[in-house]
Amino acid sequence: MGAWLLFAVAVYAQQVDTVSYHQLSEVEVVEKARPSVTREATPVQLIDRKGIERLGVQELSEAVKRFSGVTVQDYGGIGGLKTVSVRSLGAKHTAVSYDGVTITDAQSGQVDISRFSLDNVEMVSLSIGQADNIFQTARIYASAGALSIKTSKPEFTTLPFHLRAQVKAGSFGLVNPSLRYEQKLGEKWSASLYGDWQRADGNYPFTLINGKLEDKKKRYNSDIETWRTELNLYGDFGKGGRLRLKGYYFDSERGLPGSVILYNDYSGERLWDKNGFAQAHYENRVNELFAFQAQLKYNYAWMRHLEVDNKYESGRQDDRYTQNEYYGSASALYTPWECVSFSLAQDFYVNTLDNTLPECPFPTRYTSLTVLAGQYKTSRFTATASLLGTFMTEKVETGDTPADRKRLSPAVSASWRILPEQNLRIRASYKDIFRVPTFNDMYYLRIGNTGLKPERATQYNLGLTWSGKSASFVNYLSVSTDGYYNRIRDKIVAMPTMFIWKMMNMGEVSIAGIDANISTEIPVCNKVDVVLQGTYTWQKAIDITDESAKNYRHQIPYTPKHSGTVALSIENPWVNLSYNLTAVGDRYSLPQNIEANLIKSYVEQGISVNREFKFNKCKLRLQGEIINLGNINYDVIQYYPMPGRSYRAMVAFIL
Amino acid sequence: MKKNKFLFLSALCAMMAMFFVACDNDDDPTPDPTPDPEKTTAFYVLDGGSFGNNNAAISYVNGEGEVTNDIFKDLNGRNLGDMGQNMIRYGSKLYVSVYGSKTVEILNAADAKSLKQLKLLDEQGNERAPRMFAAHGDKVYLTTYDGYVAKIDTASMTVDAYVQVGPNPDGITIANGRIYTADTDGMNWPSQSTSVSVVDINTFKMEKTLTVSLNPNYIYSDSDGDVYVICMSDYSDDKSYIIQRIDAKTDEVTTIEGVKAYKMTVYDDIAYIMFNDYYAGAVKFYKYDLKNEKLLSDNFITDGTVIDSPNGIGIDPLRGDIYVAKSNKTNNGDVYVFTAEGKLKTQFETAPYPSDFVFMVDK
Repeated sequence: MGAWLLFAVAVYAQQVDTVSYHQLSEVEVVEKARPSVTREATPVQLIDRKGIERLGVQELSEAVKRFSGVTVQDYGGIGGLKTVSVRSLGAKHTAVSYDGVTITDAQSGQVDISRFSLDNVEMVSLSIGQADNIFQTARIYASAGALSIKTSKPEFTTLPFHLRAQVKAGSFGLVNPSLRYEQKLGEKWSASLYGDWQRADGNYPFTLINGKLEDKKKRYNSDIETWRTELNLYGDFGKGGRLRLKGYYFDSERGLPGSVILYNDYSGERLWDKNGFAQAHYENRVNELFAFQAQLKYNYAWMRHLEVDNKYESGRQDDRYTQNEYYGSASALYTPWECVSFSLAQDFYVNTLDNTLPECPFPTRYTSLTVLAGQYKTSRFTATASLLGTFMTEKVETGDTPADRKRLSPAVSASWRILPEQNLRIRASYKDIFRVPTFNDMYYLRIGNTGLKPERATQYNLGLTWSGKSASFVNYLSVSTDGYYNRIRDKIVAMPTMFIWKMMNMGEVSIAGIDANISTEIPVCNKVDVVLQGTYTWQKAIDITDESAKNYRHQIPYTPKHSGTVALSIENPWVNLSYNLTAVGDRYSLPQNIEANLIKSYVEQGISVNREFKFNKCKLRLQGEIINLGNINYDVIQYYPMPGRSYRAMVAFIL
Repeated sequence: MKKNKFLFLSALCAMMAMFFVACDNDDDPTPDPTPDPEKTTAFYVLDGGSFGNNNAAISYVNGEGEVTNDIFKDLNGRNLGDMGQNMIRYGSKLYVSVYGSKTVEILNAADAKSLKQLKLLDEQGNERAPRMFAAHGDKVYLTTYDGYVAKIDTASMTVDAYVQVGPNPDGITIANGRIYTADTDGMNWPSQSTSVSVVDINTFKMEKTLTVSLNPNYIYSDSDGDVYVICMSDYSDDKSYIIQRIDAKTDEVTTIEGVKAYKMTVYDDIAYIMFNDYYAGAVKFYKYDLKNEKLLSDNFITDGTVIDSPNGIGIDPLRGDIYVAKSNKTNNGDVYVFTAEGKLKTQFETAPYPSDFVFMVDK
């Protein structure tokens, strides 16, 4: 524990100027060092276990929707694909990491966040641009935004084991029991086991508006069944460092209801996923000068896609895809003076794809990422600079071998507390990053293009943050506002010819925006606190590819100009109550901003209540939610309707 | 993966459309012998729309040049559906196939009011996806993507019978008392077709299969009964986009040299051909005399107007004007109107992916 504790205390000591820690008890602060949202030189937003429980959030996507500057592309329902796009850069520019290791899908380039359970999660954070923590894997540097999911680490105070048994149930046939068991194994070791099973019919009703017709319909073929298992082993050897081993397995079968097609309710697609990975992380903070960490991971992903349709001569099309990833990372942190640190990180990974489609070239991609970063940090000023070097080479069994890719990507950021006695900070950052073409972009039957260049993204951010006690009647108040400008060049898009599409580097997008966040806690009277959080995003994300195109300088699809969220919680000794609201402005389903493509704005609301009962050493937690309180009919993605009013309840037993 | 699959399917399906003028036994009144050459003739154009957006539409432009961009929705209070595939006029009716929605809309040609929304079911009760039409006698024939031709009675607007042809038939034409279909086999890759199915129109039974070049997609005929089939091959080699002639009497297959085609429109035995060599950036608009087997022009647009993504051609029977539909990816489309001499006369904006024209010369 020693080294870790020391480090955590050090981090805490460095962050005393943030009073947002008020809401955490002293012990928690020591154990769970987390980035300070107002101190970071680039925007960071987070929700921890306490926030998750307070707001009654049950899905990762629901948590992420609370962040500003984020669009969750949600295809509706429990089994519907959910991806995260940060500041209109597209989901392929967002890295998703699970306990420090990036989750990848070299084939599609995006991660479906609906596959992760929130039950096991301690903290979810989203950083935009390059986060201040320079002691990271190189992969974390290699994206425009990073969604980081951290699972709970067991802490034993009295009992040598913990148990959490929980059942969730809800509308449309949702049943989700889960179990988490933690066991102390002597002085140095501990283990946790998590498993859950989930099923839902997902056949929710929706209203289909077709001209003057209004049809009450139901979603069909949207059933899902998933299994998740996770085993963690934690070793803490004091000066010998810390080791964490994780095994993860995910298995699911689901129907793909597809988009709603007028006059055609047929839906014959199903998807099976099997994903397993094993990862090991070792970290040693040798002394005040030097620390290092290393990780290894093997990831296996298998997918089967079946479509039953009479257009196929055999009546069906049945495809299988297998991906493997071998990943290794090592990084070192050197802190010669208290305020100066340097890090060097080296990642290497291999990705393979095998599928049953004709003409699969069986690509193997070798990637090496190297990062050199330096940081100067005092209580008032932080400046960070990093340089990422990418080298990528690819081998194929048939067809054209793409050229090797080499690239240097710089990032710089700074944060300065303007006045010594006021916690008002100004921050500025710049990052130049790219995403490589996915296997689909390059090799997908006929549409793939091995000549693709990486899609480049440049990010600029300038922001102000303030946190403190604004008045005697608030416990804390934290406010941040960031203005940003992003530019996407060589955007990888599918270009149609009359018969076949081809992936091309053909797009350029200019994105300007403002994100604002506010968070406050107001004690109303003894034991009654009100927590209020709000976010607002304004975005102008326009297509500037082709001056002669009809959508030149039009807002890109699915990007509202205005959007925002409000979350209000009332904590009291009787029943905790929280209310949340998400407002999304008008958007367009296609690139041209015309009436025919307009998707109307919506406001979605929900409420959650919870109560915890304590008996001796165990706790019983009851929680209930109403989602889409107003029963409004809305789409996030056009013709993928979202569920109307629905209910969810949870019982958890915690020991 | 899924998205790309969709793109690929859209590629195969959504963008395909064929312009087809109904057979000559139309009961149109004789056109006005001296039309005002400055004006355009009233027409409908089918706008295919993009996959999954339910935005297929029919644009109508009246004789004064006023555009109604979704006349189907205006008149019927509902959308046409997803992926408009083909539209013809036959007699007093318009026949529109909507591939994604798996519907055939039969409309009153005079005002675009829907008379019937026809669903085609297979033996298992599953819906068949409609592709392209050809008309003869009092029947309209329609290829369905599950490998059939449907015979639709024009009076009762119901399906009389189905006959099985090759897999995924698309183009269809009628000549020599036969129905010819271009069997694409497009959904069964790597299996690829080289077959044109021939159905006897009287017995409505499969007569034979003719072997053509790889990947036939569209099929046409002239007044001599010769049949022309566009073969896509693999979309990139020397044999891609060639036109082959099937002799009316001998069924002998020959390749027409010197011309390549994406799609064409046959009017008065003249083929108006478009070919877009996308990566070479070369768009060709050939005019080919089918009867005399002679290339009349390798660019019927004579004033230098560039149309980089043509999606359909129509010939105005009244004025002889040439209409070229242009797609702009998922943005709204355009229709360019050229005089018979190939000079740009005017242009109109339509909904996305305009393709098939129907001229209302009797209106």
